[in-house]
Amino acid sequence: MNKVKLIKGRPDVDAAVRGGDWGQAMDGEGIPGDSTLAHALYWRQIYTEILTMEEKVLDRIRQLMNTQSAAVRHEVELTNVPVVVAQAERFRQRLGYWDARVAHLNGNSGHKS
Amino acid sequence: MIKGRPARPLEGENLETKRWEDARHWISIYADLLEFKRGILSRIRRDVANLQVPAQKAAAIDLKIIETQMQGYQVRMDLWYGRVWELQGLWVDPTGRVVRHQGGEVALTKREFQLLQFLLDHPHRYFTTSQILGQAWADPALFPEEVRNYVRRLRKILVDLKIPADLVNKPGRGYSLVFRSPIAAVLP
Repeated sequence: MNKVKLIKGRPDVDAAVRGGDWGQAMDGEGIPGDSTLAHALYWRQIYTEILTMEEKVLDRIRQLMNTQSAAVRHEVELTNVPVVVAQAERFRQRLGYWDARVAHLNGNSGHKS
Repeated sequence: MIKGRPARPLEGENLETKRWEDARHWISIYADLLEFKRGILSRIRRDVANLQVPAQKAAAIDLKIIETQMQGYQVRMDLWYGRVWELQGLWVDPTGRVVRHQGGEVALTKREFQLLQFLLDHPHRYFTTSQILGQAWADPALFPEEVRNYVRRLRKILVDLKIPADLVNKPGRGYSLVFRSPIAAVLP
């Protein structure tokens, strides 16, 4: 998994990218290791949905970029792309925690359920 | 709705330029960026509506970032519009509430000046009567007829000073200051 690089001279973007901290849970999420199967399934579903959305947004950004001028493409590469990539990485990592928890509670810790 | 901090200048952008082509180029870039971000924003809003509440809250970060970026781009585009007016020889003096254009000069009343300044700052965008009352004059208690009255006065001033712009009205959208050629040529 690629870490998103911070961008020199763009503190606005850097702050947003830092928002993609993998340790950052959503409100009410709790700790995977303490959760019941129902709770783990619920949060796995939440992260699956939002990760799917972020990936679609990234696809859309890249698709729209193809029709833009070089200056616009450059600005979008600096601003939108790293933010969405950082968010998606965060959600993918959190989904991994919940996948593992579901597998563990199903007595199947060797692979994803 | 309109106020905000300008975005950081893009690479190679210089507001001090004396060249019309530069102004046209940068207005066009910011118009493209705004259109691009509107497209992304609309896509995210549509997708977020289908998510469960916790995911909606997390996705709100994306929306906020894009909205803030758009405000910044809008402010920079407005700065470029202002530069276009300067290059056109239009000077607006807020202290004396005087507007000058190519040798002509007119002193304005406070409300005339506020309305003209507001429209010059946001050309080619439509504002309803209530938006004008609230944003140009910060006095929503005024009667809508006042807007029509001041629009008439400003139209006369535009003609008297030969400012190449029209204050147009479209039903359902409101009023907008629209450039005429050759200024229109700098617009995307």
